[in-house]
Amino acid sequence: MKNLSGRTEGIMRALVAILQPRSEKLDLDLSQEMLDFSDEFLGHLPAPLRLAFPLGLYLVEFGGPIFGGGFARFSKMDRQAQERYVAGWGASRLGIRRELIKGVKSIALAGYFSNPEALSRIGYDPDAWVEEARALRKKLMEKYGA
Amino acid sequence: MENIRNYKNVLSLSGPVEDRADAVVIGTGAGGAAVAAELAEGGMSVVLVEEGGYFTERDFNSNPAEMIPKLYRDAGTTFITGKPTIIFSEGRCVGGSTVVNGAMCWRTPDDILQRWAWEAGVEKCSPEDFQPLFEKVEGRIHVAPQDPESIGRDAELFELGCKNMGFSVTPDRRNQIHCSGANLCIFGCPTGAKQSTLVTYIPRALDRGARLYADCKAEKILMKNGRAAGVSGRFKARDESGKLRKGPKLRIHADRVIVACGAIQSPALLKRSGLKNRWIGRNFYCHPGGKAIGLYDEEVNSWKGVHQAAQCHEFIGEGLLFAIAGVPPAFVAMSAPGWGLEMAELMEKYNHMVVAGFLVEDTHAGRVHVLPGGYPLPRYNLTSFDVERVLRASAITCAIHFAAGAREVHLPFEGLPVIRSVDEIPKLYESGIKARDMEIFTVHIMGTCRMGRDPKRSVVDSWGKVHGAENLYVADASVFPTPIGKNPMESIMAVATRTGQRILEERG
Repeated sequence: MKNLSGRTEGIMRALVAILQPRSEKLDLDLSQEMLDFSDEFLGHLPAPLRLAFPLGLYLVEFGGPIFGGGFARFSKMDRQAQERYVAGWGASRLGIRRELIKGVKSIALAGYFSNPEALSRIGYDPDAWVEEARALRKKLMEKYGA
Repeated sequence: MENIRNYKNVLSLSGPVEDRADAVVIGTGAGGAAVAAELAEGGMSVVLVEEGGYFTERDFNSNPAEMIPKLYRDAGTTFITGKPTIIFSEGRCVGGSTVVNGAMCWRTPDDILQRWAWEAGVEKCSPEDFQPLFEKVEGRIHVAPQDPESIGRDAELFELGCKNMGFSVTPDRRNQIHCSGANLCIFGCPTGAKQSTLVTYIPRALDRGARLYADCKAEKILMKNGRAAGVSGRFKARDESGKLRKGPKLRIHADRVIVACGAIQSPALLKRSGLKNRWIGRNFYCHPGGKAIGLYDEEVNSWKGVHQAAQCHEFIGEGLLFAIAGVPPAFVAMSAPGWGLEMAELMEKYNHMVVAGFLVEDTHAGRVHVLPGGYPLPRYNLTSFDVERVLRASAITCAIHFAAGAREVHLPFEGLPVIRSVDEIPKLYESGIKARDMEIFTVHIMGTCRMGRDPKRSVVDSWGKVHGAENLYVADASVFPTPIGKNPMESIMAVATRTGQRILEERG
């Protein structure tokens, strides 16, 4: 990883496992891609956010006793406990907790929905459409004048 | 092109890059590019400085992982602090936000021009004064209605919903030449149809000898005894491994400096440069907006067809504007509520979605603070009145969706994510939604270096000249004295053209 440390990578990996879309149709495991995308993205954040982000992850990891997650570290909780804990963060009255989960979710899901297989599963093929659009534009320019 | 220099082609230099021109323009978006072209066509030597990179049609593709970091400031993570936090996407590349916007073109409404004249004393500010400016801009960037073949099903449903509700719909005019609805506007137009400043004003300026320095952040305006004398900056870009590298410094000596970095970066640059006017950074408006995703039984494929074909101006008098905007799945998922199974079940229906949105004209102002080190911190809170208007706009959007046949509408509210019929619309009000529960975004920011004739109440004069400083101008949306309630690009270009014309007149 370029920007995540070993420890923060572990926390992100556990978060990504919870956040990743999962259904019968979307049964892909893209957790590594989401992680790689998030790591790359982190490098583009402005300096204050780049510094704050790992601190936020540590708060998630060790905040169980304060935020109703029990005494286990987040990355060591069982799956159900992790899901409840993350849901609690997402619905928190404390804005900074909600924003952190929303921020991680945004980045990770952008990574998920950049994967061609995931896009194919939901029926989105922009590259093929762009080729059609180019051909259509040619026709429009002939029809209406350039 | 020979007269474009960027990080890569200055790396081999051992020392700072220096240049000299009649005018240096900082920023290449709607304002910067328009004023630069005006000055270059008027015979002045012009240098443009742009913080972002230089990318063209052949660089644009559908991959968010590649395009977002290239084309957006801070890889699209910019936000406005406050209650609630407002997500703000700003282009940072040659062409600025005109490369990534939806290309909607609206003239500044007459009543807004009147407000500018009455409330801020802006001179020559009547619709008649601005008409030739709008005509010039519209010619330069090819403003035209969409060809009917480019209209997608989502636009048809939006129009149907509005019609069934008795709401008027106004077709968009966009800066485009036979746009065929590739609908990847937000990643740069891959077909060459969108007429951003990248393919209009900037080539005009370059063809007349202007020089462009990209990948270069302007750090400070050089001031000598209250007179702007140029700008200093530094080249910065990411290498092949993605690491941010600093290159040599840049120093442009110029008789005139025009700041056009947008309503967050322009006040920050002025403050870093020692300007002390108390209004710099104040008067921050941002057209807070929200969206509601309608799910339909039929396959809509909102990604096939123009990004936005029309707007509903039925409620413009209340400061509410409605439209649809097809966006790629990554952008839907990034801001839709939920994750895991909930997100998967929503995104499986991507091809059945119509993403409708609204913007709310501001009723009060926020502020862009400038922190030690010159880093801007924008701050804006929704008032309780604004919260009511967001709820009203959401209710209207839901009604439009249901009138078009939507089965359910997904909302950007914590605690009320979905409603399933018109009868459930009252839940918007019954659920006790507060500002902190709302997901609000914006793509329009303005006002932080406002125009006016009174130096005690404004930052620049009627022509964009900074009060109390010689030869220093601002030419972007930060000069707007008020919010304008519509997409601002054409207004920015008109005001910037006006500034350019004034500079040429003063020069003689």
